[in-house]
Amino acid sequence: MSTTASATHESTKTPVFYLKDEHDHAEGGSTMFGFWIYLMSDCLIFAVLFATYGVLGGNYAAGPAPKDLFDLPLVAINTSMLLFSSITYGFAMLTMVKGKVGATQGWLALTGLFGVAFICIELYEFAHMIHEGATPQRSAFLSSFFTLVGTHGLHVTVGLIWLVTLMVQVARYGLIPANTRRLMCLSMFWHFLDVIWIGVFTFVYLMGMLR
Amino acid sequence: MNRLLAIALLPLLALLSACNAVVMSPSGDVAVQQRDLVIVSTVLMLIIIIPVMFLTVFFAWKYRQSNTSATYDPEWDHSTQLELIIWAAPLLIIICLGAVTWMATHLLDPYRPLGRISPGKAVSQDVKPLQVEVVALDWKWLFIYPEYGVATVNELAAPVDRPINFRLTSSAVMNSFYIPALAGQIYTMPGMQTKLSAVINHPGMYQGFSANYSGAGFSGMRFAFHGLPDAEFDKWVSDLKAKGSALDRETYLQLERPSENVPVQHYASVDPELFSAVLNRCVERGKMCMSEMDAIDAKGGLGMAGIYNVRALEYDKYTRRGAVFGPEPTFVAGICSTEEALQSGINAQLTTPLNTSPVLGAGLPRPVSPHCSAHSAGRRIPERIEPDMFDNPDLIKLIFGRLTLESFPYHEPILVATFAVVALGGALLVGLLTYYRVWGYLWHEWFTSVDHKRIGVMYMVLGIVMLLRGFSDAIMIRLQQAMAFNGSDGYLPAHHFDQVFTAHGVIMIFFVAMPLVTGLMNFVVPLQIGARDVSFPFLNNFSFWMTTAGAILVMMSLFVGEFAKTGWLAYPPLSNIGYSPDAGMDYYIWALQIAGIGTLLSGVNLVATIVKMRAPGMTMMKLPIFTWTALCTNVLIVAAFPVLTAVLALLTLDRYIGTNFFTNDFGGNPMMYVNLIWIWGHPEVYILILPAFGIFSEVTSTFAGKRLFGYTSMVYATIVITILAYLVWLHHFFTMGSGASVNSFFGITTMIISIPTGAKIFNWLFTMYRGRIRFELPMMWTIAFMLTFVIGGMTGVLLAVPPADFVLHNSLFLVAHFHNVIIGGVLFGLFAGIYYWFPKAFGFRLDPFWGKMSFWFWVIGFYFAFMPLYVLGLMGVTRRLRTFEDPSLQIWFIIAGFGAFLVALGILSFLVQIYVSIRNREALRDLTGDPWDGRTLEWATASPPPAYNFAHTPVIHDLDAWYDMKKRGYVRPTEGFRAIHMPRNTGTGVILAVLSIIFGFAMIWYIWWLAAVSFVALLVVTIAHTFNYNRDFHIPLDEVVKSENERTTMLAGLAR
Repeated sequence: MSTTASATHESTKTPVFYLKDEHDHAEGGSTMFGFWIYLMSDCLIFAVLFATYGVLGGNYAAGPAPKDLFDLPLVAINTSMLLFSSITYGFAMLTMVKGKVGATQGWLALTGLFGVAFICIELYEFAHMIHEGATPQRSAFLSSFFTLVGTHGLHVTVGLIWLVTLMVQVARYGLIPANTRRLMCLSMFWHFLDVIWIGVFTFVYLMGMLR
Repeated sequence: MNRLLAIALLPLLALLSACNAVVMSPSGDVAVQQRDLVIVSTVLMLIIIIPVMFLTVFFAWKYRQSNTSATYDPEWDHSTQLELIIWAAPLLIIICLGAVTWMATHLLDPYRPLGRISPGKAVSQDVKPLQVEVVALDWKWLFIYPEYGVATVNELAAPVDRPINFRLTSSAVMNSFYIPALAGQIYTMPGMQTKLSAVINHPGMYQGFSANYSGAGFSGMRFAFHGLPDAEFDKWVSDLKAKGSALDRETYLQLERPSENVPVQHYASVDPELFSAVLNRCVERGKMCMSEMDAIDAKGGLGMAGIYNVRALEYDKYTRRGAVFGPEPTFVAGICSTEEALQSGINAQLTTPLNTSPVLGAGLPRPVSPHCSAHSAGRRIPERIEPDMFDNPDLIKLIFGRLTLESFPYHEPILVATFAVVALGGALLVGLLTYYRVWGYLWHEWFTSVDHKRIGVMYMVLGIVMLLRGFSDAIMIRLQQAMAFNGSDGYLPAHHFDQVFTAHGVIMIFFVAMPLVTGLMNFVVPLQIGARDVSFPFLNNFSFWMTTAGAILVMMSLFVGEFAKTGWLAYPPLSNIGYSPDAGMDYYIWALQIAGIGTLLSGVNLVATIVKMRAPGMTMMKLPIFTWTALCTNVLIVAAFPVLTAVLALLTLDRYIGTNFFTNDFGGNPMMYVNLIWIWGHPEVYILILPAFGIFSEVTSTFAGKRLFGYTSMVYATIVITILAYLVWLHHFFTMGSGASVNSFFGITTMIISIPTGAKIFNWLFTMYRGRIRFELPMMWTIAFMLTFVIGGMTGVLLAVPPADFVLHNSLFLVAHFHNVIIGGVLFGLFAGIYYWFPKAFGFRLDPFWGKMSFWFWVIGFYFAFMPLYVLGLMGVTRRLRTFEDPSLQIWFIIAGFGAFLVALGILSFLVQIYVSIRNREALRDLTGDPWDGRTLEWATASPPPAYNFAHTPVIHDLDAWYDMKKRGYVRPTEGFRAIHMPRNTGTGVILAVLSIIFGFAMIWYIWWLAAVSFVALLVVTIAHTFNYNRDFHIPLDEVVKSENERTTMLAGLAR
């Protein structure tokens, strides 16, 4: 490699060793990439939780199994809430690109409402199960179920707090580059949680009912 | 001369002949075959190790700088033929070894019935193997002979030349059944059955013990194993039948309670179902057997009807080492009223814990009548799992959680003295800092700095401070183990010793090696790639402070409460609330979680930096090799640390809210933890070693004055190691009984890693070849590394051969191995890196005299400290033992202790060196910025580099960018500067770290209100920080011009 490098520059007697005319580095140039890497590490946390559920998911400890506990229509509604929120977030991004603050805020608010609905339904589901005695302590299956689904729910909650914060910031400062960058990060986060939920819905709920 | 040598060697020979290396001269055929495999593998590896060691010394000598007659070829960096040989030689060895491994692993599978009694003597068809059922109890061994209906405690006997089939389990936590003379070890796990086939060939008495740390009484889990001729064995059995008592379930439940140094006990009769009941965890009346539970689960559980079957399934939570969760479940409906339950006499006795933890005493179990448990409809009050503040109205408890005056170890003189020293030292330091008014300077210029160089230096300081703590622990271990012979208990009680070795491991890995590695990467990488800073400067500062917060929590555990007593990886069930109810384990969890956030974010940061911030012209294959290793290490961090975070979070849930991931009850599975923690743990060792490899590459190339040989193959070797790091985790528990094919797979993948590693060693060798080697300190460390590391690599491959691992796992041989690679690899590399880049960071070199003192003390001390441990491992001595019986071992521990003393002198010399160097800094000053005639970009700028690193962004044409610039007439620009755009300092990182410490502390001590408050504060500060958009500024032009002109004047002064 050394030979090729020097060969190409042998002709020009004085190679350029530094940039004379330099512009400021665009701020946040690696934010998207960095955030993507962070998401992948987060994905691994879910991978561990899925694996744990895979190993322990059948250990009912002589207690209830998925088919005794899961209410598929409810989960279907829940899933649609999250999927809709992804679509509305997509619209928010489209309007953001056009620089429309009001429309962006509207779509973001709608996304937030869907997200809140998702969390509420999940909390209702959890509360119902715990009320029936199917607590996370009852069996390894329930421990891993509550942890996997709950961790996803916790992420959505964090996403909601982030969403509200960003809406305040957009309201205050407008769609400045820093804010659009942040909105794009949250967008990746939000869609990522959607993808995770597809996994939860499939592996935990649908396949759980088949077990 | 020869006579002198003979006199010098004589004591060593005498020692070696006196030592009874039982692993090398066993008495059972299985162990004999395992021994043979150890020898065969070693010989195979020596084929390559010996030439490497010879070449290292020869090249280093031949191509020394003073030997001007040797050929010097600074541009020679590639030879296809040589590279083929470099890769093929280790490959061939590993193919041979892999084949041997595959066959031997299947042949010596402990689950496989024996094929032969001894060489040439097959097992005859009519001999039935002796059946022995083994139960590891807290802290003794129970042996049941089902065919004879007898049982013994801490004494095992078997007839000579008759195959023995062991079936093993454990009553409470993991142990490992190990008789070095008989066969390799096998784990015993609660609720799980493992098997071991073996045969003893020579009559005699042999030592057996547990090889896996299991708590306070672990050291005393010794038993005698008698190999007896047939007639004597029959007599032994009949004596047992004549004299012993009966072992029924009640007696077993008494026996099961924790007790230490239990004398031999004999039982003339045994409940025939006892072993099966122990295995299925249903010895106690009213418990549902696990086999029954599994059968129910396989059919889909009991549905909602089974939901309150809780009591029948609770094997652990209320009965073991006095640990409890909170109030017992109270049955408020159905036939199982508390009153009724209280009337039941027998169970009351059985379920009362031996000693209830004073803090958690509120949860004293109440007895429940037997019929309550199995299928009752009793309804539990949901508060059961809430930690006990909710049922204790005591205000003090509300405010302080479980923190009491008793949590402070004021009654332990060692700790009080330590605290006094630390407090005095701390007060002195604070006083001095205040007196010299440097607080403002520290805060503005360092603590809140987002400059990657400053953060790098702070990481190094943290690592070195923690090294002192971690090394104090090491000295304490060495002292204890050198003393505790001939009935002496040493000077450390188990309560202390177990914390010391746990803290030693945790601190050395997480708070010494990790900060030092991260610090070097932080400092060097942006400079090497010609960047102004990392991608996310604030995150970098935050990461550092989170790591420090973790370190502070660990240090707090010294004086407030205690640290974990579980070993550095904290395997459950031992680390679960039932067996480690104290705050120590929670310190472990929260310290690692908080530091882990820092590590993960710094990993993300450096990956983004390397991928996105390289100077123009620096393609991936022109990336300096240290940066390449840093990239791979950070990819490993990003891909491994989330697993640690997740697995510790699950353990936290088990401990705090009573979930059942890693419990013995309710379908939990402790094996999951062991797998998951090693899926993080094995990549972790490569996270540490890869940057060290990078340092050695830079150092060898620089001090040989030559291009790095085989850069491309070096890069690919690094990538291969990165990927393979994820495919080897199971080699940390071959003895779990995974089966021969699984074990072989992981053994062979492990060996494959030695191929790229071997290629790297050869590449360094051929970098030295035809070089002009200057033996400055970094190069000395590199040579010491190459000679030391190959030994560690060899023993590592040896441990990767599963049957060899069966005899060496958990032994001091293993301890010697990983210290050999971590000290001989990582630490030597870090020292090389510190000496190499110190002048860059501070503008003056480190004093060479004290550096050489430190070097020799360290290297010689290392060999004295760890070579005896290899010997002890071959003598069948396992790790984490607090006391010893065999007096012949003592001399080796004393030698090891002497080694530790030498290392202490090495550390002391290092500290003296820093002091002397700072005092003589003017004499040691380097004005050029390039004291070693460096080759990479960091040497192109001033030492110490200005905040902005490079006034003009460099353009790269060659792998050795700075060497290329020097060679082709680079002229440093002296005009045309601009104002430079830089990130602004912020105190948010410090604030978040302080809040994290408070949060962690509150969680550790169950101070719920404080945990809530600090958590909310964390959220608020984080969100508030995002409202600060003003995060950067421009270094004004005149400042840039001023600092660049200074350098111009300085360089001009040198030229004159």
